[in-house]
Amino acid sequence: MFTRTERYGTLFILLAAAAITLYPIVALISAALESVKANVNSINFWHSLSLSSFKYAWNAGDFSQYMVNTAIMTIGVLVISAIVATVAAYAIVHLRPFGSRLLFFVCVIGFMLPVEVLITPWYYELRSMNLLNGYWALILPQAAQSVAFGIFWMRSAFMAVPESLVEAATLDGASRWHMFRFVLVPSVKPALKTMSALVFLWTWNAFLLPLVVESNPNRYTVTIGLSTFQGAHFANYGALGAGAVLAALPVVLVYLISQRSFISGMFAGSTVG
Amino acid sequence: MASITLNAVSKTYSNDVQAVDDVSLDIADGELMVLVGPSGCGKTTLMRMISGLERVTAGQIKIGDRDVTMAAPKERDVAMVFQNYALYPHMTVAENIGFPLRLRGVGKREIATKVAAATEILGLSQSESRRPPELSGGQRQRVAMGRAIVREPSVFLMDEPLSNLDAKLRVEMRSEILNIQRRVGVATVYVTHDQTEAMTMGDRVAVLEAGRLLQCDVPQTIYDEPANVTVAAFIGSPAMNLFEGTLGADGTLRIGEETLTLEPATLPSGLRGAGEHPVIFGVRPEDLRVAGEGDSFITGTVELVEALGSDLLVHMDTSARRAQLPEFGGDDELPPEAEVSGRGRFVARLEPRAGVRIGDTLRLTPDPARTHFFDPASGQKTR
Repeated sequence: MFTRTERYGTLFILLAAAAITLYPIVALISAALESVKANVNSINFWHSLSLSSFKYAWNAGDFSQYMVNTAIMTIGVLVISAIVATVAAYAIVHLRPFGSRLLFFVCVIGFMLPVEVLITPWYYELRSMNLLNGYWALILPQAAQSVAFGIFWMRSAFMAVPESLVEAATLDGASRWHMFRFVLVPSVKPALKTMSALVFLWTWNAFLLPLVVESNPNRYTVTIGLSTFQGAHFANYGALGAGAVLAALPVVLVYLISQRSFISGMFAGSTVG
Repeated sequence: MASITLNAVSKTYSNDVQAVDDVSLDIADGELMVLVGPSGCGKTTLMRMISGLERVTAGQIKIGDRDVTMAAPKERDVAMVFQNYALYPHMTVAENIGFPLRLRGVGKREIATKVAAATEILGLSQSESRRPPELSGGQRQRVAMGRAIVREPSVFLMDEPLSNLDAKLRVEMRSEILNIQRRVGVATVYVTHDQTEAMTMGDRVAVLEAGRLLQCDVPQTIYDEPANVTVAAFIGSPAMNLFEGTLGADGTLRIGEETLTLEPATLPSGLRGAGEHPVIFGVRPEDLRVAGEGDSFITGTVELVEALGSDLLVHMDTSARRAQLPEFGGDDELPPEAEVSGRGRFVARLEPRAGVRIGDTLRLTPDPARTHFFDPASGQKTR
């Protein structure tokens, strides 16, 4: 049992950590809820609440367009990576075609390379394919990296499905498609949800690739848009805060929706739900 | 509904491990055949070969008149109940049971009817909408049975279905499985390492060891007439007393420093009047009684008395040497000093009020009609 000193000491440490973590978030939200006309460049918690900064960022700041672009990019990457990675991981684990082990190791190398190393070859490839300044320039490279990660992630998930389940389905008369659709994919759903949440997170927040492949402001993503917005409104904390909150909101919402399976998927090592 | 025929079936893995060695077996339509043996004896591998989940290295498997040796599992029309149930965790009880029918393209209404009938039989009607993690062990077992029954297969296979249940539930489920099997009337192969299940459930019992079929017969014959020393040691609880000895032409059996005089007429014909033979002498605990006047006896000191209420199990330390059975690692109940000296322990099942106490010197005599003799070299019964 803990002594009183230990209990209070623990509480103090936790409160301090919470305060350090929450302060920037609270400050950001407070700034975002300040009137855009206040035009202040300091943190201020004591002011009347207003949504004018959000309206300003959304319209004058073009965040509506940035959000649409980012959504198209993210959903495109998500759909491609979820489908391809799941099917590929299933094939590697259960069909075991010739070369599947080599393919798996290539995938592992693929997602371990940082974007900074890959950005130059990506740029030249996309330019040669006339895809620059379009949505495919945002989607294809990130889908490729996400597929590589997804295969690594989902392979573990499929391997965690008990062999007896596969055998039972085989004896029940399941074809490969039935096995995949009705037995395996439902069994690895938590891992798939976790993978999707992670892919969403880093795709939505991608900065370097959109910066390099998009020079058309109509195709800017929310991160590039925020960076540009920041340059023009560096002294207006209200507008900056609103822009940052708008940029971060979808990621926070996705996390809140999927947090249960996100955490269980992370700590269970993508085992069967 | 069909019979199962195994002709000289063998399975050798790529690392040259012989899991099943030349097993031939006929299982009649409607029969419940139990495959029993110690862990690693090949019983599960043999059953998986019948199901098609393991390939056959040599031999032939037929279900009915069909040669299914090379057929895919789903073409064999077999249903299997797995040791860990293998229920689909994301499906409800109704969906689990109905899944094989759904795969066959059976209509929803028909599936619902058949599932309702199966859950009624199995006592799961109130649990149809629950998922496996919400069920008890016994309920999961019944769902696994339901999924097998609803397919109306030609063959049932059950891989130690009761091993994950507690003792009380095991007894209940044993009789339920028997009732269901008799109602369905399909050839069933039941794998277990538990000899109580084997003896109580099987129409016939096949005892396996190291991939080989040692004996296949009705349970009582397996018990009364074990074909070799491995079967004799494995079947029966407590196990048969098995000792190294020498049998003389006059019926004198020397086991350690003890001598038993047996009627030559009660000896196997192969051992009568033919000089001295090394033998493994076997007698079941219930075939030993306290020696009376004129009886030939083995004497020893009582080391342990277990009062079961209905019986008294008496462990008597003697100079006799227990037969070493490599498959079961010898007698590991002996205290270290007895092992060094080669002393063996007889276990006798006496009447509950026999009045035997630890430290007593006891004289035991065997029922001459219930003794067994095995060849030490081959382990086979001498007849």
